[in-house]
Parts: sequence; structure tokens; C-alpha cells
Amino acid sequence: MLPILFLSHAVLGAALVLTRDLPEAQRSVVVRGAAVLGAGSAALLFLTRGSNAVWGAARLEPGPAAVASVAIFCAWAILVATDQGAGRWDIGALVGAGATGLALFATSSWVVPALLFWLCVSGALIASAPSARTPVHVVMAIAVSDACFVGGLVASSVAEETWRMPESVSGWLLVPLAAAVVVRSGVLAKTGVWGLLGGAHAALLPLAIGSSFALVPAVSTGDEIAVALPLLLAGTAAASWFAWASAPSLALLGTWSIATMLAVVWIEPLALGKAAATACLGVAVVALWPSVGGRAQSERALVVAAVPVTIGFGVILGGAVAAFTRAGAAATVVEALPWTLFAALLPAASAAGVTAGAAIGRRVEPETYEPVAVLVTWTLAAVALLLGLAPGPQLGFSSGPGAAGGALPLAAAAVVAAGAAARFAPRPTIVLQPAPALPGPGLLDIPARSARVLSIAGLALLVAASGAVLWFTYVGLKTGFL
Amino acid sequence: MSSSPAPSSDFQASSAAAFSVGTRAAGVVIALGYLSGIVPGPIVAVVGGLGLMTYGHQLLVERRAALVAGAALAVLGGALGVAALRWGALGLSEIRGVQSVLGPTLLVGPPQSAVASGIAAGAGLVALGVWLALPWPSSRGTFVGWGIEAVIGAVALVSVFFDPAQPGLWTLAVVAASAVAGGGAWLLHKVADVWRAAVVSVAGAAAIAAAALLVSVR
Repeated sequence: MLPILFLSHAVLGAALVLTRDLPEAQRSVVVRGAAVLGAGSAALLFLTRGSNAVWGAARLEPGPAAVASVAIFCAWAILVATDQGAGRWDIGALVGAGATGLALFATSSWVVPALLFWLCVSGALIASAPSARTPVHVVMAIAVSDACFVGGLVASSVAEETWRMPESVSGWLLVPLAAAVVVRSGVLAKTGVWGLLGGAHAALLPLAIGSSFALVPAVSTGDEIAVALPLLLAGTAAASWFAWASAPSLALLGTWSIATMLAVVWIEPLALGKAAATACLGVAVVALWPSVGGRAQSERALVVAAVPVTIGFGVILGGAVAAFTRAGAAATVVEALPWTLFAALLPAASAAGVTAGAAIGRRVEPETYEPVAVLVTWTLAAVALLLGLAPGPQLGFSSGPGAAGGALPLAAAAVVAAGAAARFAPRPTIVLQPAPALPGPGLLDIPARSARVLSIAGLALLVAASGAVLWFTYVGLKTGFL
Repeated sequence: MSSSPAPSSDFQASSAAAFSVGTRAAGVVIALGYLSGIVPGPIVAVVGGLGLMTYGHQLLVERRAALVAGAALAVLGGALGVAALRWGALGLSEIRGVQSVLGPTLLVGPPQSAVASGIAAGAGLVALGVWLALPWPSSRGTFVGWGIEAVIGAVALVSVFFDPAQPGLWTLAVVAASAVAGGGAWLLHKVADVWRAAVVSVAGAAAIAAAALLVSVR
């Protein structure tokens, strides 16, 4: 079963290459059909994530498998929504290749396969960049994250004299690996993988985010408050800025989800699955926004705001409990301070997220929506709700406090109450100011000449990283790394 | 692609109004579930319920007022967190349990801790007032909902700061806190956003000072 679930995406991608000569309308149907199949395969992988099945160098564990499956599901879902009759077989093929690479990377127990499959995802991202509006952002982000990842992982492997994936990394080696996660995930709002926003190539975004989340368990045991605290600050600032700005940007909104969820994962490893799922679902609804003008604002807002009953709130709750417990266990005030700050900042972060969400919900926009994209946004919101309602052990982390026994009925009662109130209670009068246009990606403008230089530098960095991986693979094969 | 050059504000406003009512109702259910002890859990879960209600509030007001409402939620959450910090426990039942043995958070020494708790409770009450002012209820139906939210906010504050074992005293404290916050909201709904923002800023600074004082006592 595992080989089918892993390889089905690459097979779908390869099949899409064969459709390139079909008429556009037919090709589009095939692309959307393949994307639906891919999403179904990802859902199956999610359902089998706790099986601990082994296939070659891959071992299915709940957290990493959840990361991969939700990211892949979101990638195919974005493709379904954004293809819009264009029949983008090329993007479909890249999503397929990248999805298989991500699934194998996330579940890899060994360094060499992990390096190769990470590069597989990078290759898909880089190959999609030329069709993006500003490729240089994507090329630079992937190049820097690859260089940091390859350098950090190879150095760690050599230092520890092991071919196995590390379970934690400390000292200076943490710096490049943490940088790889941050740069690749899209925490940097004005640049990076956000260059993929605004078209079918946005389908590759969840794969970049998923691969960065999947790296965290290999480098963190949950002690990295020095990484987590700045991330939480960045997330809070991004949400506040989004809510404040009269012309908000999509990248800023995505940064809120990713930075906040990543911050919690660095201090609470059990939150991995739910945090990555929240980030991927959040980014997916943000990426679809330009195709859903004037519709599904509130659904999008609820996913992004990480309010109770959706999956994101469980992560915030878990992060607060983890930080508070660590603050209480610290021996000195100095040791307790960062943990206390993290626990204290989470309510503010949560409030900022709610405010950013409401800023989306309040918008009256020009109605330029694609019905399929609206349907996909509703589906993603429903998934966020269902995963939030899932009982405790789902995704390896309890969203319900305490024994989680009563949390599920309470959440279900809240959903019923919301539905009943929305249907029967008197509705207040709202006078909304029309927004002149949909938000744009909000990326830094880079002059053409600088962009050329940066692209060349990025490609050189990628070649160097790929060369290092090939050399390391050769050494591994020579000594027998498995 | 469906396209319409002019926004259909009626449909979108109606949708936002439905979500506003729905999320406020869901927030009430969640906050009540935890505050009543039916579901054991940390105080953060109550803040989550308040967050849902805040989302419903923010859909009804314009951008600057929504920011102030968000800030009020952050201060209210922070104030509740100060009580948790005081007892080193995040669970609502633990915070209530320790108060039933040692006495209300506001009255238990050392003096610095009691003072810090008092400052945080005051900040929380002020933030609740600002939160309730945005928006001010416009009809009898919405006034009922507003009243329920005021009581829930007051119960949250009383539970962590002044939870005496006697039910009569507890009820009195909740009524008093609701009245103070509601009265504050009535005053604050008449002033401009900039004044409400100033009040929330002061309350936020007070909550931070209270937390710093508590940490220094440790």
C-alpha cells in the first residue's frame, strides 16, 4: 500500500506530461481529474499515517506523515481550483514529482535519501519558478534553504558519524538548519516562496511549507525557545500589520499562519501534524483568494484566524500549555523568562490572528470568483473544521485540553449553536465599505538587473548544494549507508 | 469565471452578519463549557471562546474599532494569564482549587503578588469594558447577547481572581464585575476610537507591569 500512496503522485504527474498535446479544454479536464485523484491519495495517506508501515528507507510515523499528506492534499486542491481551463499539465507534473519527493523526505530515516528527496521538492519548486511573476524570490529562497539544509545536515552527519537522520541538533549546527526551515517556509513575508502566489504555480507552495515543517523533528526536541520566540513575534507582527493595513497583502497573511505554527512546533514537537496542517490549509485558502473574489470571506477568515473548533486553535492551546509548563519548571527567573514571554505572547498572537481574520471577513469585494475555487475553499475550511473536531490522539496531539474527553462534544455543540444562531437569531445590520480590489502578493520590487544577478547567484548556490548531495551520496554508497 | 464589477454588498453583508451571530454563539458555548467546569481545561480555552466572540464583534465594526477590540481581547487574555502565573497553574480547576484552600487570588500574600493580581484584575475589567463597547448593542435582541457576553467575561475574571468558596459571594462578585464592565462599556461607546485605544493601552501596560511584578517575586 505504501509504495502506491507515495508513488501515485509521481505517476499522475508523469501521466499529465503525456497530455500536453491534447486540446486545452480536454487537457484541463484531465488535469483537474488527476488533481482530484492526487488529493484522494493524499487523504488515504493521512488515514494510514499511524500504521508505522516501512518501505525501504521510509517509515510512516503519525506527525511527519500528517505533514506530508495535508501539504500534498492542499497542493492538488489548489491545482483543481486554479487551473481554470488552462490545462496546466506542466504544473500538474511538478506537483506530482514534488509530492512524491515530499512524502519520501518526510518519512525518511536516513540522511542520504532525505537529502535526495529534499532536492526533488526543490527541483519541482525551481522548475515552476519561471512561470511565476517574480521568479527571483523563489529561486533565492530555495537556493538559500537548500544550501543551509545540505550544509547543516551533512555537517551533522559527519560530526555524529551516522547515516541516520538526527533526532536533534544542537550548537552552531542548529543555525543553518533553522535558517533552512525559516527561509523555505515563507516566514519572510516580502520575499521567498511567496513569489509563487498568483496563478496555478501556487499549487507548489504547500509543498515548500510541508517540507520545511517536516525537517523540524530532525533538528528539534522542543527546547528551541530562542527560535520559537522570534517566530511568534514575527507571526503576531504579520497579523497585526495585515489587520492595520488598508491595502493588505496575501504574503503577510500567510506569514502569520506559518510563523505562529512553526513557533509552537519548535517548543512542542507533538504539535507537528496539526501545526503543519494549519499552516498548509491557511496558505491554501490565501493562495486561492484571487480566484474567490467576493465569496467565502468568512470561511477563509476562520481557517486563517485559528479560532476554536478549527484545527489551529489546538496548536495555540498546546503551545501555551507547553510554554507555561516549562516556565514553571525553570530553576531561575532568567531561565523562566523566555518561556513566560512565549506563554504571555500567545494570547496576543491569538488576538492578532482573530483581528486579521475579521479584517478578511469584513471585506466587500468585487465579485470575480471562479465557482470551482469557491467550492475548493469551502472544502478546505471544512477540512480545517473536521480536523479541529477530531478526537485527541488525531495527528499525534490533543486539541482538547485535559483528557480531551469532553472537548469533542463541546466543540460539536458550539458548531450546532453557531449554525442555529446564524439561521434563526436576529442578524445585526452591517454597513461594510467596499474594498476597491483584491489584495496582491505584496512582494519586494527587485530591479531587473539585480534580479538577474541574484538569480545567477541562486542557481550557482543550487548547483553547489546539488553537487554536495551527489558527493555525499557517492560516499554513502561506497561505505554502504543503509 | 463569474464576474460583477460592483460588489454585491447586500449578499456579502448578510453573510458577514450571519457569521457574526454564529461565531458569537459558538464562543459563548465554548467559554461556558470551560468556565462551568463541564469540560476541564486551561484558561487559554476560555480565551479561545472569547476570541470567537471577538471575531463576531469585529465583523460589525470598522477597521480601527476592530483593532481596538482585538487589543482588548489580548489584554483580557493577558490579565487572566497573570492569575495563572500567580499560582503556577494554567488549569481553571487548579486555580479555583488553590483559591478554595488559600483564599481569593487578590487577597493572598505575599503583598507584591496580591498587588500584582489586583492590578491585573483591574486591567482585565477595563479591557472587558472596552471589549463590550465594540459594538454597543443596537436592539433588544442584541442587548440580550451582549448581556450574556458581559456575564461570561465577568465570570472568567472572578473565577481566577476572586473565587470565594461561598456561592452567594461569588454571585455578588460576578454581578458587580458585570455591572462595572457594562457601565464602563456604556461610557466608552460614546467616545472616539482613539480614546478607547488609549484606555486599552493603559490597561495593557498595567497587565504587563503586573506580570513583571509577579515574576520578580519568584
